[in-house]
Order: sequence, then C-alpha cells, then structure tokens
Amino acid sequence: MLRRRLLDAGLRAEQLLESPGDLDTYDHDGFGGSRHRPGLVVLCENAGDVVSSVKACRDASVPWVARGAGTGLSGGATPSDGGVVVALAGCREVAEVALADGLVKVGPGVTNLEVSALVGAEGLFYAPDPSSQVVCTIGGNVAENSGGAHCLKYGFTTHHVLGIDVVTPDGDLVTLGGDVVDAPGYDLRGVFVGSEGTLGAAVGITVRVVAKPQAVRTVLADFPSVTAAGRAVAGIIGAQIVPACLEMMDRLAMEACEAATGAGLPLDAAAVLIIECDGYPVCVEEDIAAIEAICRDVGARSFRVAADATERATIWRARKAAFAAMGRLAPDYIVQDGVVPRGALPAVLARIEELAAGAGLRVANVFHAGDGNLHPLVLFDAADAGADEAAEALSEEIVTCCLELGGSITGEHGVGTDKACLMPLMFSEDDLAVMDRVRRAFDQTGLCNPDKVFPTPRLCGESPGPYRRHPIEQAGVAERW
Amino acid sequence: MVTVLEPGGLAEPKTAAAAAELLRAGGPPVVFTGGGTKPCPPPHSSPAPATISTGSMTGIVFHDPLDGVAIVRAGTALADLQAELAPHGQWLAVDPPFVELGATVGGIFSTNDAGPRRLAYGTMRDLVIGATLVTGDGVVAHSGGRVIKNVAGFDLARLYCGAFGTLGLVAEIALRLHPLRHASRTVAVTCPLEEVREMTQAIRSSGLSPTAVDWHFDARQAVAGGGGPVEAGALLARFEERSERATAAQAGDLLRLCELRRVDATILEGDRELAAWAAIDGLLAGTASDLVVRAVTRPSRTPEAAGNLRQLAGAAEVECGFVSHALVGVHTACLRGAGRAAVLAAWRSAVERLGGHVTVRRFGGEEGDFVDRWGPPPQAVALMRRLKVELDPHDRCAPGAFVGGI
Repeated sequence: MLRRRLLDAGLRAEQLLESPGDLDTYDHDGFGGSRHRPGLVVLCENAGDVVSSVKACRDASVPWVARGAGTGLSGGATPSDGGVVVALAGCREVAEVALADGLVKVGPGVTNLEVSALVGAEGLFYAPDPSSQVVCTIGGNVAENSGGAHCLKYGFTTHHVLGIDVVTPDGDLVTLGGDVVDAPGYDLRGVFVGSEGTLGAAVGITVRVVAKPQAVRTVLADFPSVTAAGRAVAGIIGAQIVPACLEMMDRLAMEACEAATGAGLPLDAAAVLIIECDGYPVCVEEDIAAIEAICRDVGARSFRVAADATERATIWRARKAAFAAMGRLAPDYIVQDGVVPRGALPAVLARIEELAAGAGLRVANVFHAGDGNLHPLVLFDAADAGADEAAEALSEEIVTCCLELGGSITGEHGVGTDKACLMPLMFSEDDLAVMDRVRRAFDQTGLCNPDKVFPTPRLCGESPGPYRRHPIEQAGVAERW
Repeated sequence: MVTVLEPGGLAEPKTAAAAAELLRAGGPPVVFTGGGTKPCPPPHSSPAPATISTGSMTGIVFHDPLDGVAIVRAGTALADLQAELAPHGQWLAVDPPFVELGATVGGIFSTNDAGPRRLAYGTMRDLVIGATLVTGDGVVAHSGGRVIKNVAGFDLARLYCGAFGTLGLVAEIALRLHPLRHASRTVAVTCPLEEVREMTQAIRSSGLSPTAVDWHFDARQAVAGGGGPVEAGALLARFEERSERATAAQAGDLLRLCELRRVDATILEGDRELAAWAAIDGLLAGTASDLVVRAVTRPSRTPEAAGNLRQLAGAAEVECGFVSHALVGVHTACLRGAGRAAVLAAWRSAVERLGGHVTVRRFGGEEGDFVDRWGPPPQAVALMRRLKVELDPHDRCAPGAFVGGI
C-alpha cells in the first residue's frame, strides 16, 4: 500500500527497496547493538520525496526513521520492525554558498567534510569535525548534535547551524531558524539539533563556515602515567588556555593505532596528549609555550611540535583511526561516551583502571580530554562465554561513575536506543515528561523515530533504573544537574 | 497553606519549587521580572496579571573554576556574577546593555540579549549548558547538565532562552564560562556608510580574531556632538587576548591594513577605549525616551539596512542612533521624534525585503500600545503555538506577549 502511494506521488520504483537483502542493510546503524528489519526503505532525492514518504507513513500509521550515512553510535537510526527508513543520503543539493556571509546551505545527505570542501579554496571551513567526517552526513550531525576534536574551541553542531528546513511528522515543510541569527520566536532550531530524529527530518541545513586560522601548531606530548596526562589536561584548562583541541590516548589505544597507521607514536609512554592550538600566530606561540611548561611540570617526557603539515596529518591519521584500529587488540569492543568535569579526569581515569582490573577486562582510552568527553573502549571476545555481558556491565559502570562525578551519560554519540534506559539515572520523571511534551508538540502521530531517547517499558522493562541523587544535591549544595 | 496570586500582585519565590507551587495554585496570568531593566507593556489580560519576581532567587549555586562552569540562580545580577568570577580569571562571556543597572542572568537569558562580543562568544543560547525550568503549569524540569559537552535529552534551555517568559520561569542556569582576557585594544576607523562593506570584508578575510566589530553612527542631538566623525559613521574593532603582545600585534596589523587602504584609523586603549565601548553600550540600551528597535540581516546586508534607516529617519526628521554588530548582522537603532513609529514600520518592510526582520527592544514613552513589537509571525508559528500549549497549557505566562500573539 505504501509502495503504491509513493509511486503515485511520483517516486520511481528504484527508489523503493523491499528485498530482504536490501532491507537487512538498513536494520542497524553504527551502534549494531539493536537490529530491526524495516519493511521499506525510501531512497529520497529531495525534500518532496521526504514529504511524500512522511505523509504516507502518517496516513498508514507506520513508524519511520530518517537516516543519513548510518554512522551513528547509539542506534538512533535503527528502524522499527517493519517500519520505513526515510533514507536521506541521496539528498545532496548544494542550495547556496554565500562567502560574504560565511554560510552554506546544503541537503542533509552532503557529508561533513564536503561542506568544508565547498569553501576550502576561499579560506573557510566548517568547524565541527566528528571522527567519521569523511562519511557522516550533515543531516545526521544535526540529529545528533555531533561534536569532534576541534569542538573544544569552536563549539558543537548546534553552535554552527543557523537554520533547518524540517519535514514535520505531519508532513509539513517548516523552516526552523533561518539564514540570519536570532530568528523571532522560540528557538525551535535549538531544540531540533540533537533531538536524534524524534522531531522530524531535516531536509535543508544552513550552516556557518568560518575562516581558517592563520597558524596551526600540533603537539604530541608523552607522559609516564595516565594520571599525569590527566593532570596536564586539568592544568591547561585551569590556566585559562583554550586549545583548538586536546586529545588523549593511552598505551593500549596507541598500540592499536600504531599497528594500523605506523604514525610513530611513543609506544613506551603510558599516555600521550595530542594538543593543537590555532589562530593568530603570536597567540599560538604563546599558548604552546605555556602548555609546554604545564606538561613538563607534571612530568611529560617529551613535547614534540609537528614540524610541518605532513607530520601533523600523520598524528591526526593515528588519532582518527582509533576506533577502526581496535580490531587489532580484540575481536569485539564497546565504545563508551561518558563526560566528566575536566578537573575530575585524573580521578575517573584511575577509577576506570580499577574497574577494568576488577572485571578482568582491558580498556583502551582514546578521547576528547579537553571537553572531559571519555571514550573508553572495553575490549572483549564474544566467543568467550559471558564476555559480552561482562563488557556491557563494565561499560555501564564506567558511565555511572561519570554521572557520580557530575558528568553525563553521553557527550556526542547520543542516547538512541543504546542509552534510553540510562536516562532515568540523569533525569527525573518530571524532566523526561516535560521533554516528552516538547516531542508531542512536534509529533502528535507518535510515528517519528519511536522508542528512542526516552525510556519505555518496551525498551527497559517495567521499571527502568531509579534516578539517583547527585552527591552535590544530596549535600544540599545544588539542585540536580 | 497555598498562596494564590492576586491580580496585580507580586510574589518573590525563593526556589523553583516555590515558583512551581504558585503556578500550580492557579490565579491570574503572570509575568516574570528580574532586574526590571527591560520593561515592556503588560499583557492586556483580564484579570490584570500578577508578577513573579526572581528578586529572591539570587546567588551562585555552584562554581567549578577548574572546569569553567557555574550554576547561577536566575535573579543574580550579571554584574555580581562577573565580580565573583573575575578573581578566578573567568567571566560569563556576554556583554548586553543594562548591566550596571542590574540586569539579571535570568532576564538576559529570557530575552536572549547580547552585546558586541557576541561575534566571538555567541549569545546566552550558546553559553547555557543546563537549566532548571518551571513550566506554565508548575512542573519543575531540568535539562542539560553541568559539563560543557552533553547531548543527553532535549535541549530545553535553548527553548526557554529568548522565550520572554511565555513558557514559564527559568530558575537556575548552568553556564560555560570563558577565560578573562585582560589585554585589550580597539582600532577606531573613520568609516562612512559607503565604506562599511569593504572595511568589514577586509577584516573578515584578514585572519585576525577580533572579539567585536561594530559600526555605528549617532545623530541624536543630546547625545552626539553633531557634525563629528561619529555622526558620519565609525567602526570599532576590538582585540582581546591573554597577552599585551598578542593584542597589540593584532591591532597593529589592522592599523597597517587601514593605512594601506588610506583609511583614517587609530588605536584606542585605556580610558579612551572604555569610553568608545560605553558609547556603543549606550546605543544598545537607548534612553528612556528612545524607541529601541533591533534588526537582523545577513552580515553582507549591513550597509543596506543602515542606509535604509538613515534615509527613512532623515526624511521623517526622526533623530537616530545606530549600531551594527557588522560581522554578525545584528543592528540596533534608537529612534526619537514624532514620526518614529512610521519609521519603524517602513524600516521593517525594507529589512524584510533584505531577508531579515525587526523587533522592538524598548518602548520609549507611551507608545507601547501602538507599535507592533514582533512584526509578522514566523513561518513556524503553528509549531510554536503547539509548543506553548504543551508547556503553558493554561496560557498563563505573559499571554499574547510574544510573536504571532502567543
């Protein structure tokens, strides 16, 4: 019935995938932990195709999910069983490049890196840079409020999106925000970014692009202990320095990356920091000098400034290959995405070590230290009996520890299906109920990416984990965060 | 015993829970107030609205200097917050008008007000990382958290930021702080309207990183000297870095760039620099007798927006001061004189033709009833109405005070 309706609306037969093999390709995203085979995949090519698809789903009461490149790490783009996947990777229109205004408007299927490429020759770039930027799409970045290494200085997706053309769950095409700042009315754009596809489908996105910095310096600093590296991070942030990015890798992560890329990482170090400063040359030189002093002070063994662009690219190749390289250490792994206040980094890293030792599992750390955004990779072999449950339990213990330190269950990967059941650890029933009201304002159909973000009995059983009061709240120092 | 608000009454709850109780108890419509620095005409409701003030919700709840994060009660004056943060080398990176008059963090948040440094730091929307909110029907809800990076749950704080109290009350706000930059220099460039486009583009492509670039003119009699450079138009570009050396170097680069273009420019520091920016702050605030309106366009449309206003004001003999955050595309005008409501209407049409919009920020005198504050409703107004119904189901919070009659 849906197929007939979409053909009548002008879609071509080859845009509609229904064979089991095709459908299997779309039964999960980069998370993989949850698989559901859709009933139909619509390969949309423009906003009109999306409107037709959403209206057809609405009229037939079929749940649907928008999907970009499917690189998301929390299951946000997983379809419902028998539901519709509204595939947006083919919506690749470049509607406008306005250099004098520093803005670009593209379709949701344009990749993150392609946006930078559109304006690179003019000395501009799109700042948010998730590690998957070669393949991940702007539409997906909007849904997840994607971060990336350089977000420490430049901000996250939400800071760079001016306007979004959205197909609402009713099938209306509405512009949230616009091509100028401060659009009158509620900041619907702000709540849509990071709503994980639960409020509609983005079909046109206007982003800010900014000038490339005059100078860039990238440093590899190595440390005798993970704690020392954590102290260096806390020291840099505490000294009121804002590097463009501040990344950490521990020895295990380095081993994997080195084996994959041969980048020349110091394998005898316990941890390295990759520190990048950019901007006006005098500022960059001063910041690098101050950072070197801090690193030396906490015991850095070496502080190597990349001599040229090639050396800088080599360092980054190693860092961005991290997740992909983990296969060299263990057949399976779970990526965690917790956040802690930056002053708590040494404490949380020590705690992760203890927890891993207790569980008899190895954990590799490679993460955005400057943001306090941890990506502990819990390594295991699913062939070992009980290993996946143990890894799952350890991963959850780590994120619980982040929360206890005042942090968050997710810094950039999103809640999706993966962490929906953890939401009550961070938010009260009232908090979630008010968020759900916002969802209802956008989606009265209940068909737009259901069973994501919010804990439901279907996902979590009848009683999702209880909300636990933060230590600060318990002490009466603050209300809950 | 549950307090029920009286029409025209005033309450100063101490906590979010107490404010929620007031809202749950029913009664007349309510408006929220902080420092009272941005008064606007009350909604024409019957019964008359009551006022909920954040005057008893003050102070910093939490400050982690090492992490650069603070949680602040809504009624805290921004000036007090900055004074508390400064010894730690930090500040909340917003510089809206009315700070010395007692503008509060909650009021600045609710009106999404900002100043020249939004070029470098954005507005409150970009700095808020979490909030404790009270819906119109009295439910206390939190969103976000107290870490700078966090994507768990919907970003409710951004919705309430700039909602002008029509969705309920913001009780506490968690904020990302920025390092204070003590070194500051401003390059003041003589820049008539005809040269704005070229000059701003030159700065944009210079690779320098100014924290503010404002073009302004002031032809209000009591304020400007008359016939001086500011009446013709001047551009200020501010540089603020950690060191004097880096700051002076950037200002020097811009000065040389001006010399190459044979444009008159000078470097301001110390008291002269402060005075120049105080004049900009004065233009953003206006005076009690000014009608203050704010236009937003693409940055490249700044010269047209400014030119239109100057022409319309001149023809109507309306005195006019104007400041534009030229690289952002936000323009504020202070209008004085009998024909100013007509100038507003005509400028609004002109700016809309440029793809922008105009809203009223301050009502001078008695004409609050006669000027259209928000202009035509945005395209997404139906969605906004639905949101209002969900978050303020009894339509109690400043009814009719927002865009599209929301």
